[in-house]
Amino acid sequence: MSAPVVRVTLRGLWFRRRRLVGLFVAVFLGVAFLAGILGLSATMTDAIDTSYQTANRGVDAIVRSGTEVASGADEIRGPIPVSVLDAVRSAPGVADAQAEAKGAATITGADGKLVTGLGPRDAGTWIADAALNPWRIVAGSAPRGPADIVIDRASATAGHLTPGSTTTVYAPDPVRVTVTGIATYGGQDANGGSSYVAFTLAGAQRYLLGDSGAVSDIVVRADTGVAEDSLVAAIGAALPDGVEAVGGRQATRDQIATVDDGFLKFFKAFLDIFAGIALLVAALSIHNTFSVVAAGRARELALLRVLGARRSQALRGLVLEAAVLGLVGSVAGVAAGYGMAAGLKGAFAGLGLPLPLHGVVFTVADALIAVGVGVVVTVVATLSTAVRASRTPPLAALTAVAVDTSAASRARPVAGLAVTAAGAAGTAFGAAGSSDVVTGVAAVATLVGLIILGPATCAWAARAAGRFLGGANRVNARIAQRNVLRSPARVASAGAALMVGVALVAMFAVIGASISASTTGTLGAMFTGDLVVSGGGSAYGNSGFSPQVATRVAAVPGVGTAAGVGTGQARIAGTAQTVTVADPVALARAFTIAAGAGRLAVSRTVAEEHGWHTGSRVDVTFVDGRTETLPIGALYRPTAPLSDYIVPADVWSAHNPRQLVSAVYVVTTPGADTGAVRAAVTSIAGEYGGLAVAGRAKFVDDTVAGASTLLNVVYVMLALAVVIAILGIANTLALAVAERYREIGLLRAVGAGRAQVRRIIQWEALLTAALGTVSGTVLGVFFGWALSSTTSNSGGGEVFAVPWVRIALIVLIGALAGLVAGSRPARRAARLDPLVAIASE
Amino acid sequence: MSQTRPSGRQATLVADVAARTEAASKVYGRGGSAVTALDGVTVDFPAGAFTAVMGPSGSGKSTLMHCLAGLDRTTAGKVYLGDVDLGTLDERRLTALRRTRIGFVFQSFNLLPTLSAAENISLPAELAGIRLDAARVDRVIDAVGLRGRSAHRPSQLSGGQQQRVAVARALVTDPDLIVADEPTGNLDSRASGDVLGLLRSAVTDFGRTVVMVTHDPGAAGYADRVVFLADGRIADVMTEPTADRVLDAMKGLTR
Ligand SMILES: Nc1ncnc2c1ncn2[C@@H]1O[C@H](COP(=O)(O)OP(=O)(O)OP(=O)(O)O)[C@@H](O)[C@H]1O
Ligand SMILES: [Mg+2]
Repeated sequence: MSAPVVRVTLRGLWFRRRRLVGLFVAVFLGVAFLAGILGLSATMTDAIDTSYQTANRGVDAIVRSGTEVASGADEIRGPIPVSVLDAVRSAPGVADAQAEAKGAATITGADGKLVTGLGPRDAGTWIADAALNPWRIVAGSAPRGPADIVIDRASATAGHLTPGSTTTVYAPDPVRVTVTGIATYGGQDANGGSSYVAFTLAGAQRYLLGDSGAVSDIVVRADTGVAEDSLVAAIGAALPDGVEAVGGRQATRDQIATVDDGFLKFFKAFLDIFAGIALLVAALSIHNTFSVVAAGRARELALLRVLGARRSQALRGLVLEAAVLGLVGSVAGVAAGYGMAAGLKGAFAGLGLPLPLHGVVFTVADALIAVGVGVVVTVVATLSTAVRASRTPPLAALTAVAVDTSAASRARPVAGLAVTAAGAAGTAFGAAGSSDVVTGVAAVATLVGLIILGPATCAWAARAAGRFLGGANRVNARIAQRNVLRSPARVASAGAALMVGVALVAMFAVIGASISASTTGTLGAMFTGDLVVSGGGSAYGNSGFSPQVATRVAAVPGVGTAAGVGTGQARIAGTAQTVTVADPVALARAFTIAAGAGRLAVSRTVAEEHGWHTGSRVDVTFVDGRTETLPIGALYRPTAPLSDYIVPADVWSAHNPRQLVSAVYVVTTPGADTGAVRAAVTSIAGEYGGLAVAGRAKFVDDTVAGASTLLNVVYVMLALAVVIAILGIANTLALAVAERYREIGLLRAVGAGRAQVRRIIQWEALLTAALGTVSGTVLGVFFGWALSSTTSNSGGGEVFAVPWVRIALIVLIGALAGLVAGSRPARRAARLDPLVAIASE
Repeated sequence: MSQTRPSGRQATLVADVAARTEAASKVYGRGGSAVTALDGVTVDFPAGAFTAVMGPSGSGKSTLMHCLAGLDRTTAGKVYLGDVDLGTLDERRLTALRRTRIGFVFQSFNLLPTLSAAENISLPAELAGIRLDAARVDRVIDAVGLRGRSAHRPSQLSGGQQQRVAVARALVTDPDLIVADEPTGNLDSRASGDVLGLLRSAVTDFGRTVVMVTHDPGAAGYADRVVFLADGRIADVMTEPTADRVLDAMKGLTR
């Protein structure tokens, strides 16, 4: 690139730095968000990798059950016979082999309260061979008796437990234990957010498996010089059917891969969507700001052309300008991304979605990606403006600066209307035909159509508003309205950024309300019980509690039925599924689901997908590797907290002897003293570490609230996009004020007071924000309707509900945000000295 | 340039004073870089008269106009509109005064580009919260010869037409004082003649008071009096000016 272009560009950038602040901020925020999200993803990946690598560091092979029933992070496999241990030990190349029994156990602190945390409550076996045990004792000693335990240092600190303390662990039945040692995991106080309890093998077998003849798996250390695959082959030859051996390194890779394309993939995609939205909104803001700045420079560009600059030189200068701005904003954004990652982590935790992470990992590659994306987005967003501005005829230098009239195209409104109409029709069609692909694509088309239609909508809305606004504000409103009308394209693109943000917020509000309404409706109709005992929050993680609770509650006078319902994993019709485990007879009393003994109950959604109906026979493979063919006894409307499959407990327990329960649904007998029943149930719940007891209404509310947790996270993620959009409006207005110094001065000279000038700008801000908010809200409600009917038509049974109060609030906040956005430019305009304005130029 | 002057002007010569300054001074900046734009100017602007203000570039004409119109404040001395001392008014009162009692016509950029001619004309009144009746706006538009153009935007009007709209706007609120700073500075002689004729008739036919800055001796010929400024001081006051006498006086000032 030629030196003068570069020099003029860089000088100009410095000279105009105040005007470009808004552009910088848009790039900065968009990239900071992206970098924060990349950082968060990297941190999670790193935490998971480290955790698994530490777990298997000295393990050369693992011997375990060959049946896999769970897909995802939780390795749920059935136990194997302890007799396998001797076979493994005598296999060639094996230096040491240790059996372990695993499960879950919640620790009670010295104050009698459960030690809760951000992860599962793991329990296992203390292994003396340091190569096979990722834990290191830092205080006290290894367990000797079955009632001795070693715990992680984080739990010890939180629960004020020291070597020698006695306490209770729920494993899941309460066990009195003595803490003999405190351990660390790979130098950390805990393994991520999980707690850890290690028994002796005998203790672990007794409390975690309930079977002294079984173990969960066997970890093997090889003789020096024995390769992993030959070790695996040697052990494999000695194993009975249904038991397999895998290499330690291989197991680590598999575990990491499972998490990577399971939960992590979903989580990263989820985060990336919001980074994309923030960048899209930032791009709209950048586009707009740059076009205003370029319009203000038409004369300068024309002068350059008069002086002999070629069109291509002008274009290169403009692109370079955008690239430099993009680079500066992106680098600053990446720097702020670290803080953003930490902030997101905090926000997630605050919303009940805690991530068990230490610190933040930030890779050079991620930093480069964020900077690259920032620069590319900036250049692309400004390209059309740069091309248009570079076409400024030299003659423009000699004539007065014209008002920016970039919306002149006649084809644009027609095209916009066509795309919008086609998109909306497609969305509705997709919703009716329950095709989420059609709905999604058409929804995006609708959005694009509206953006194309923007200037026309804006002009129309400004005219309508002009007719609508009367009274004392008449002149102010009219001048503001005319200002909007002079460059509707500019106002429309400032409003479009807000429209996108608001549409998404409104859409999620509608979907959230619809889900809440259907859950409330469905669960309210299906649940016929009176009380629910549950783990209540994160204390138990996925692990559930002792089935004894159900048995004991059932014995309380006045209790008719106490249905203990658990959660488990099984392969159904070939794929791994999460299932609900319940006694069909008891369940039929607490819910309107009557499958009958030995029969499955299946949600209508799943039944429709597979073409099943009552009486269909379905293969179920259990964790012990055996498969049974069960008839379907009932279909039901899907609802939290039930999963899509309910497996009868009598069949289940033959394969899973140690099934835990996650809730006990209580039905009282007619005429029972409900107060007394509740008191008795609460007292039992207290003996198991303070389980939560809820009445019917609270149970429904809690379930609905649980379903909305993710929604709150979504709102936080969208908040940034909305903030960027509002800043964009503020920025556009500030530039517009700078452009109109003379007009404002004239207004003041002919008698407009400062307050009037301020109100004129505020009106303009309000019109812009209202345009974005109202169109965004309408669009969002429409999308929400389309999505919820797409799912309801596919058997989800969703109700379409519009949260009017929330929607009104969104519109109100949008309008207020407009006023906030307008306040600074308005104040600046009001402060203008009329004489300075007259003298300027 | 020997146009017949309307005969009403003698009668208004000794009437009361619409605006005046008393030892008005205006200093821009401080210390070594201070510029004295007005240096103890004491001058009366009789009501119902057309006063032209002339002088070399930089002599303080615009500054004087800004002070008279309440757009700027003097650093010493007083400015009166009728018997109101502008120095005692706060920002809010000055603004109110500007929109009801003063009309202003600048050399250019007098109109909001987004408003039509008629809307520009009624702007000061509307800012004051007064609804002007349409008949009145029409009368003023007729008076400035723009019937049929009232719905046009400034960009659709010629420079001369724009200045006539500006004059109409200055007239419509019946102000006590109309201040015009080189209103014909950008116009050719025909368009200038139209605008000056309008200002003249505002005085003669409607009894308004006009103070106008001009560099054109011919334009000064429309006035009842000419006040000459040089270096921020009153150099001379001439009554019954003609273009030739004004030209002579100007030569004396510039040396
Ligand atoms: N804002 C300002 N700051 C500093 N000096 C100023 C300012 N405005 C005017 N001046 C100075 O005050 C003096 C009088 O200026 P003024 O604009 O009143 O002159 P003028 O008679 O209107 O000239 P012209 O015929 O060129 O319009 C000049 O020397 C000018 O440089
Ligand atoms: Mg001047």
